Amino acid sequence: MSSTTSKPVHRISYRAVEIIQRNLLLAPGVLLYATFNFIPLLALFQLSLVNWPGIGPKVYVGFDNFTKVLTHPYYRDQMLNALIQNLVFFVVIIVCFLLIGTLLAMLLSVKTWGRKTYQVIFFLPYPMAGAAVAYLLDLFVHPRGPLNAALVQSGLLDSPFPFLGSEDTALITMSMFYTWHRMGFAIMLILSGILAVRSDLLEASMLDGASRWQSIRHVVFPVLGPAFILITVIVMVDVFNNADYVLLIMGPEAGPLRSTDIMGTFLFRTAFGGSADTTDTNFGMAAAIGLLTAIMILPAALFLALRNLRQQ
Amino acid sequence: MKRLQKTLALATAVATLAASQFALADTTVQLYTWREQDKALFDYINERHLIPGVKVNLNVYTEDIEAKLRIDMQTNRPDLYHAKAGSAWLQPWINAGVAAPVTDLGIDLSAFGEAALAGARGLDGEIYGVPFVMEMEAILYNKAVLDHEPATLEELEATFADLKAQGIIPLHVDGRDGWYLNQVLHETILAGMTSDEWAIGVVEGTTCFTDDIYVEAMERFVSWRDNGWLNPNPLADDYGAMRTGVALGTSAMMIDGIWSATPASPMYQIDPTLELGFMPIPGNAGKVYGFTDAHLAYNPNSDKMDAVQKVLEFYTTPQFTQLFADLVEAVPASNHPVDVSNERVQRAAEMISNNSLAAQPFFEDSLISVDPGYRPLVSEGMQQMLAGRISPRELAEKIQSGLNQAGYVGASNCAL
Repeated sequence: MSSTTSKPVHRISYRAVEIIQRNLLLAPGVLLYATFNFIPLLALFQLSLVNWPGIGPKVYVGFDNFTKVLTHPYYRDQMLNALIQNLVFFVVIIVCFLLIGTLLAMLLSVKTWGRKTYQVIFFLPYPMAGAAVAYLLDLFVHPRGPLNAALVQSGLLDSPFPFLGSEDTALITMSMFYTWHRMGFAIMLILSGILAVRSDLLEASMLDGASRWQSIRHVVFPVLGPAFILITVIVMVDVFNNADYVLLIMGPEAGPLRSTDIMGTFLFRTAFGGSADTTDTNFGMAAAIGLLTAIMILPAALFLALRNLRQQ
Repeated sequence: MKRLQKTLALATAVATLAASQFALADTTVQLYTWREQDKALFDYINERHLIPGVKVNLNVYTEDIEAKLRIDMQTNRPDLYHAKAGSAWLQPWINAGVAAPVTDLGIDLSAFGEAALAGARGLDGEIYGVPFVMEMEAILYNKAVLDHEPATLEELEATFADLKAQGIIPLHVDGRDGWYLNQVLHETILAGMTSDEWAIGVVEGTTCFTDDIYVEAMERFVSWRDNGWLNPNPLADDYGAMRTGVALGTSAMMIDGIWSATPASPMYQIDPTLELGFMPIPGNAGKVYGFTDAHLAYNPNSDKMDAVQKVLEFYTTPQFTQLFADLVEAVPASNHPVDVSNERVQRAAEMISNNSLAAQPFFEDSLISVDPGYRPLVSEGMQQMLAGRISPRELAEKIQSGLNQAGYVGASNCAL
């Protein structure tokens, strides 16, 4: 007599497989993020607790760097000024991106002759190096530059206009530089959103008697929401953390009269010194400024990103 | 067999040659500097092997040299570096252990006077570098536009008015760069329009920025702007724009350093035939602002210390002094007698020796070791004054109150 014993078959549940697959897929991204973002962020916190001129021994000062930046009038006033100007810088850029970018993207979405050529032209500045763009545009608006020459020769102005030499116009001019350089990126994102609008929905709205504007407003714009949010988050993070144009053109002093000072220039000046004084430098305080900037923009960036996810 | 012998002989010869080449190979040291005008000098020194067994690789960073040094010192790359004058600049490097007294290497500094050594002296009184260049700041003018040197302020202002009537900008200044505003423009005004006594006093804390002599000097300067004798939008013009204006002849004069008149100056790329003259602001003091611009410091952690020592020793020799005057066309810091045929270098050397302001506030510890110190206060204030945001009196009060709050030595004398 033979007896057969059946072994129980342990099958992994579909749910478990799904979890494993998901984790395996996420792992490379998480590892990369941890290596290049999260660990450096922790190191930044560690650095913010020391007084260090970038060389030599580090002196542990606890939270003194944060206290100094937030309460010492000399540093606090600079930070407030930089923060407010950074907000203005951001608002001007994002308004230009969303208004002009949407307008140009809508024009490009219409199937007309030369559309592809215009797409290339609008996108052309984007791959250019920031330094090249900064110097080109600095020369362009210079008192001896072509823009002023044209304005004076055409009789619109009596003398060259100090685009970067006046505290009233320097920051706006800088934000125009940024806008011109990155507009192609905004146009492409918005254009891809417009092209994703289902044509049957547009046709249905028109059959229902909607005007062209009503169709755009009620069918196209709602689809563009995620693209707008993505552009806003990317630009926000970029302009609060980088200051390439200002540093290249106006230097770490961010003149005239600190009117182009934004968080990036304030941080750079604290770490490496300005051209007016290179002796008072502190990487620890610069790290504290970087962390404070992150804390300030994180809630807004998270809110927008989560809202975007929920909508999707 | 014969072939084998030949091969062995050839191999031995090649090996001997290679070994001798290796033995003779120069040690390359890395020298960091912001002075691109010294490139030709080091090309000459390296080509002729003037420092036996040593080749100097010049790493020129015209902007942010301190940032570059900080980063590269972490990997111990710089062996030598040109250091700026003043103990405030030196102290962080001393604290970090990347600057050490040159006397530790037995460098003989007997060829240098106290004025030259002062810029290389640390707070501990030790000398941390070999001084090599004196600089001078004054009015520089395009000789094709201005053919005479006004002897008094009144004559200068009359010349300004004539030039303006001809459609030429009389005096071009850079209102954008912080380093220019505090180190060049402000200090040249002090040298021309205050006095030795006042300058010495302000360093010692016995005279004040709010004194009439300082305020009146600044008021006179502001009156030049109000009369339209300066470039129309000083804050729109950077250093390059200022020099371009004078090189093109659309501006007659600028307040600048003598370095702009050396052969490496980009002004000669705009006009190779340009001839620049220089003179002090012919005011109350009528002096130029002379100072030790740089000294050669070394990294005591360098693993090429023998070569480092040779370069430092070379900087103290009469040969280097003569080469520096000939090739860089600047004023050497040592007292070695130099055969200078260049009239400009000769005149600048005479002015620095005989007619420069007796004290240099920009480099003095009493003013710059405090935080925020003289340099940022002056640069911010000068820009505000040029923009018309504050008056000369308010500039004086801003500097004085800033210094007083930071613990300036003369705070009690100059309480506001």
